[in-house]
Amino acid sequence: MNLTVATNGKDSFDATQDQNREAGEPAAICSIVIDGRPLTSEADRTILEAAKRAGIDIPAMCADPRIKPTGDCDLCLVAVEGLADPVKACMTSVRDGMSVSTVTDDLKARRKLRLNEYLTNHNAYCEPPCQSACPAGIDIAGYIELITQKKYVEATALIKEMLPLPGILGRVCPRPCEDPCRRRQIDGEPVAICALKRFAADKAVETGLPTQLEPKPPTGKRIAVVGAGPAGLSAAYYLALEGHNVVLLESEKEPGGTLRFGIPSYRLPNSVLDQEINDILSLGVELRVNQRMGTDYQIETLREQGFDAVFLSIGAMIGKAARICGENAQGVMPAVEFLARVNWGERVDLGKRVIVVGGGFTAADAVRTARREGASDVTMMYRRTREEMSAAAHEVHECEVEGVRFDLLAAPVSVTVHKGRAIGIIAQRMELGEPDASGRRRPVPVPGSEYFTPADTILMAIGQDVDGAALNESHLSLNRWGHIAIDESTMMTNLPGVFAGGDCATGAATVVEGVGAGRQGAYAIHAWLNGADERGIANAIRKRKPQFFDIGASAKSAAKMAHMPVLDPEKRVSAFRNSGHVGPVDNDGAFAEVELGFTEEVALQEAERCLLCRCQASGACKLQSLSLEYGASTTEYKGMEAGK
Amino acid sequence: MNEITQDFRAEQELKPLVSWPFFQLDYAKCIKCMQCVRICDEVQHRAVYTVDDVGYPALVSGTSDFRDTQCNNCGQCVGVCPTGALKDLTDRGSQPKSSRHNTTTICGYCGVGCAIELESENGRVVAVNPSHTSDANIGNLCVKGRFGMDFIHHPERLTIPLIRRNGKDSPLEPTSWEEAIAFAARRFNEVKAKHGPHALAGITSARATNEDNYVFQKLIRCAFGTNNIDHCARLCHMASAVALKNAVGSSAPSASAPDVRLATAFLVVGSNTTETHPVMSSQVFKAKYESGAKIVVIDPRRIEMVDHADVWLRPKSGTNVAVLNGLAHVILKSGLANEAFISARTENWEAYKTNLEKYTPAYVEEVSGVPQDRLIDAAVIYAKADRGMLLWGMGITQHLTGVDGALAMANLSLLTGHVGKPGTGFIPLRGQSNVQGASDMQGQHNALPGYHSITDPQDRAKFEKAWGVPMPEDQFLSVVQLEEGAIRGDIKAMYIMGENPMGSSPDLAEVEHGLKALDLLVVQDLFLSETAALADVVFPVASFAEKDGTFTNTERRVQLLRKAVEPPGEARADWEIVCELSKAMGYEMNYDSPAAIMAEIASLVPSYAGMLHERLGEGGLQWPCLDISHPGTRFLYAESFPTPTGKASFSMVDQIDSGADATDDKYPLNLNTGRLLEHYHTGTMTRRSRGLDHMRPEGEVDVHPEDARRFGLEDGRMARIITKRGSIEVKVKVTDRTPEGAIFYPFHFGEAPANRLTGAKYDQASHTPAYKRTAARLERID
Repeated sequence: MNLTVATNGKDSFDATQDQNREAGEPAAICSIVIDGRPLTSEADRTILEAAKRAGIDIPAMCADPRIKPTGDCDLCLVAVEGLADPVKACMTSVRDGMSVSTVTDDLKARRKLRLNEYLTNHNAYCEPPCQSACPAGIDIAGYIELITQKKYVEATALIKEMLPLPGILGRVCPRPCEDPCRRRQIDGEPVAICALKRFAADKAVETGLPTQLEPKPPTGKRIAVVGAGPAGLSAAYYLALEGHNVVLLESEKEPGGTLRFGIPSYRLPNSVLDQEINDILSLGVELRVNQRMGTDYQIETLREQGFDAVFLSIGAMIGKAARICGENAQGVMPAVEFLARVNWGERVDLGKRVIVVGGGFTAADAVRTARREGASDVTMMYRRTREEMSAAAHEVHECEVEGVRFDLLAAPVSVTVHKGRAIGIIAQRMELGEPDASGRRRPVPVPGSEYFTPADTILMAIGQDVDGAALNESHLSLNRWGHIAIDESTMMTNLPGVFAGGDCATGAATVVEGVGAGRQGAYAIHAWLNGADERGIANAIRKRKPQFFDIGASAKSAAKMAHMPVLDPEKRVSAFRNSGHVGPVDNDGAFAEVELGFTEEVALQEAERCLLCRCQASGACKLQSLSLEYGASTTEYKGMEAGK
Repeated sequence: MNEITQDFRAEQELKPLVSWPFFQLDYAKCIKCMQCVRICDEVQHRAVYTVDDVGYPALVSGTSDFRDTQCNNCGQCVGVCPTGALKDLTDRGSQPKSSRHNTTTICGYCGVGCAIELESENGRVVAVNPSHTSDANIGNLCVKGRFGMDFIHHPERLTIPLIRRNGKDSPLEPTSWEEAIAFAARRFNEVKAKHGPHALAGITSARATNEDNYVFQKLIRCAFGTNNIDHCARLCHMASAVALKNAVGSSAPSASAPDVRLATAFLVVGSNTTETHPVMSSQVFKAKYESGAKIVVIDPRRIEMVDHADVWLRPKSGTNVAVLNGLAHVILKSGLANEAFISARTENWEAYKTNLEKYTPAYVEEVSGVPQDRLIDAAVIYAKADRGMLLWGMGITQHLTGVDGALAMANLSLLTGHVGKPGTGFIPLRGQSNVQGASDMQGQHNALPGYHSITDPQDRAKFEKAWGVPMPEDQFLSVVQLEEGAIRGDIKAMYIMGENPMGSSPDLAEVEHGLKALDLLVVQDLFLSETAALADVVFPVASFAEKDGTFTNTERRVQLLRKAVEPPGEARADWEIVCELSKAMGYEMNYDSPAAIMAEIASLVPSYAGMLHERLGEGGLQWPCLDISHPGTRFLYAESFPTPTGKASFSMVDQIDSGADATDDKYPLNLNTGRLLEHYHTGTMTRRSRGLDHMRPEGEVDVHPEDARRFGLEDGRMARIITKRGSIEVKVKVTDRTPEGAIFYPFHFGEAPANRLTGAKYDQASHTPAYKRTAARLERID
């Protein structure tokens, strides 16, 4: 076509100045320096525009090219050589010969101060408190919202972005997320976050639809993951998704670690465990069982086999000793050993009277399993009160329902032994003193309060250690507790290419912490394989979140938390075998799953209780990104003094 | 903060400002940056926000409901909020914004062609952001673009082909693609064998992409073997296209959005820009409020732009030519004509000049009712401006003398020399996303792609060579003629892509009659529209968010659409269906992507020669774009006009009272039809958007208070609008927006369609129907 051509003045950054150029009126050009870079700019531009055009980002909250600048946000302050005070970049035109610094310590401090001030006015969470509290960092509000829309497969897929074992954690997680739930401020009870996770996962399994992504194309890298417990399974999952070739080495005959032989099946049915482990293996993860580190191979052997990196997640499976007289007598055993034997299908006769020492998860599992194994008189002996128990409150409640007796504020002094066999325990009354490092009040012995309690078996559940025999390594550094020493910011051990996480690096902790550590380990290894240095690795796995005050909750009508339906206690207890019973305990009766899961109706109602605290703008929010960049936080703001 | 402000804040936290169901302002997150207040004031120029005594944004109404203000829910404030205090309530996403998938594409509504970002997760579009990549909208959006995309996932979307296996009385049943395509192809071929190729026809859509339109017209010409193809530009701007072709040699708008921002005077004629092209309107405001541009509005209705105008002329409907000639007369007599431009760049000046003599301000006032001094003010503003811009809409074209009106506009531009320079020119504002492209692709008045002439032997040879078949030789028929042909029985089979004549064409009773008389009607659409419901075969198609391709906007800007999500069910992109059908009918069309189709277009259409998909991402390119290094063309006619002599031509046009459909005692009111801000076309998309339909759930007829009194009507009560063609029942809105003696009713509402009332009379040169003038009366319903 015979049309005359005028040049297209295409430019997305539209300022009034550009109009002059579009109208064919060029402006004078001047030379400036920004952050040491010599630049040229039209003289009618502001410093902010000139910098933006040069790809230099000056922070600003209120600069939109469509709106006249006002300088209100006070963030675009820059230092101009020769001027005592900083100027606002959005309001100051460039001048020939101008030298500008956009980042100085003074400017950083000013910006941080200003952002702190903003944050005090900004009473909101970027990330819901439940998500911040979750060691795996699951997008909880996200999956609960998907549940309200009946999108259970999508909800499960969302959970699996951070946690590959939703059905398992939906049953056994100690639920750190539910503590800070803002719903408690309205009706006293949190949203049943964990139970909803289980609901979504169970529903997704019913559909048979995939809930995990396809792995990325193979990278050709081989990684050995040592230990197929929560941390190892999680690491294997995320490494496999990244396209790495993963070999999972397990010392026992089946994978699962503490999930399989630590947690009794009335809490976690094997079918759920098998299903989720198989999902992970289906990504192409190779499982090798009966491979015990320190016996069958060592780290050096793995290197020789051509593995590019190693993730150690061997757990902490050895019961701690109580260091009291008589604890080596017959009839005294670590609770973890007892649980493992039962979980492997062995019938363990404990006699009628059993005392379990401890107040944590293992103790709670041990007393309830002891009841199922036929002990009629089971006591949980704990040196603090019920409130301080680290076992979850609902589990302690179930212990009570199943007829377990509590002997609280009691600490064992010695095991009474008769003919080489324990016949009871001498304990001492305690009272609570000042809080200790864990924040719980320290138990202090009451002098002269010793008393005797008879028992056929005593189970010790006072903590677990890492298996020293497995760490028969000459070069691997351990810390003073016998855990593998790692740099927490990178998950690296002292050996190059060897990473560690989970209980073996932190001491015995919860399943969800192990899973979170496994994911972090996976991404640390992935970053390392891609050539990241320590800082790069730390950045890849760091979870950044602003520190905020509690903001209080204002919401919809009050509604009580839905209660998990459980197996009728009568039925449970009647299925418990009597002492002296020979042969395996009936799996369908005594070890049937106690928690029955929500019905859809209950789940949907419960999901509606979620206040969806997270912010829609999170990730796109300028205040958030600048606050993180400048380390601003509400907790630092001093504010005005009263009366001013 | 002291205790009092604490308490005040606590109270505020409980009461966010709400614009249901679009957005809300949550004070807990507000950091008082005032971006929302300022963009509303400085870009949208609406009285919505103010600032309260503790420095927070508040509403001018003093309430917490945006509906109590002038807010029209454009959501620009939501877009600038740096903290998420302004929350998009239509956001259907579950994930935080940072983890969603973003796709930059082009809005599928009006012809402004705003670049948008679709946020998607799990295969669904969950939110829309403006994109700053295009000069067309520079980051601005209106309510439809930002909040009106939920039609994409509406449950009524067609997901599977439908077919009537046993004739017209059998039900539409789901079927496979294989059967649907084979059935349609066999039946088209049967009709063709029995009645000849010219018994077949196609109507295409200005909402489909360039690629869709190109393959569609290729199918009609090569597989059908006829020139019986038209599209809905016929119903809107064909009068402008014909007029501009005659006056300056090309039908295209000459200027661009950047030129609108640069202009120092606007004549806005018959265009309710603020409602129908909101983002273009904000650019007019930018020119006015940032650079002091003057605005002249010529419109019988008191549209929103009137509130921003320096001069408002309110002519009687149908007197456009008199008023425009009057302006020219004043310019000439005041010595403001651009003599240098006229002598160097135009022809036919003397004759034109002579013809203007009689259009004295006194005569114009007599004919149109426009006061003489206002006419003079308006003429002086435009003629004296450094950079004058003409914007017009359906108020010019949808008359029996639509072409004359558009010619009179072109004359003004030539008279003042306001063309071919930055910030000057004319833009007939296109109503739909791809009106310009649909015209470019399959022409008008029997043109081949790129306005190649179907009668020119060289052009015919070029396309016969490219497409491998002889070009058909039949006379062109317009949409309205094709529909008439169906009634007469000349047209036996019709293929309609993305068009809903059962809502958009005039005189619906007749249209329905015609479509029902067809042996075969094949429709492809997003929804089972009124037209699709009459079809024998219905193909489900992908929406604009579900396919790649290009739209050409009202500034000739060819911009890239990118697929954000998969189409629902078995729905497919228009071009894929067209190619399948063509193959099944015996004419091979094989493209592996829309980019391949565009490459073929580029090889045949010189003004698109540089338009390859990979070049069109960031802001697109404006045609003519003559080769793959060409930067595109922001404004046309800098040096010459594309006419044989290189000069533009003045046209002698006279005010004619066509007499047709004039009011009389029985039908004393003039019915004017048009659009609303919240809805689009026949409402197939916007009526299925929860928010938009919430804003405007039903059509209301605007009635002047005097007429309301005369007919005994009350605001909010029902009335019957009756014309010679039919009647509908609608709610009455008593308002002085419409002049006495005239009523206005929008055409978006299928349950009470405006085009039951309109007549099929059209402008003879362009065949654009006279939707703006139908004699009517009102009856109260008790």
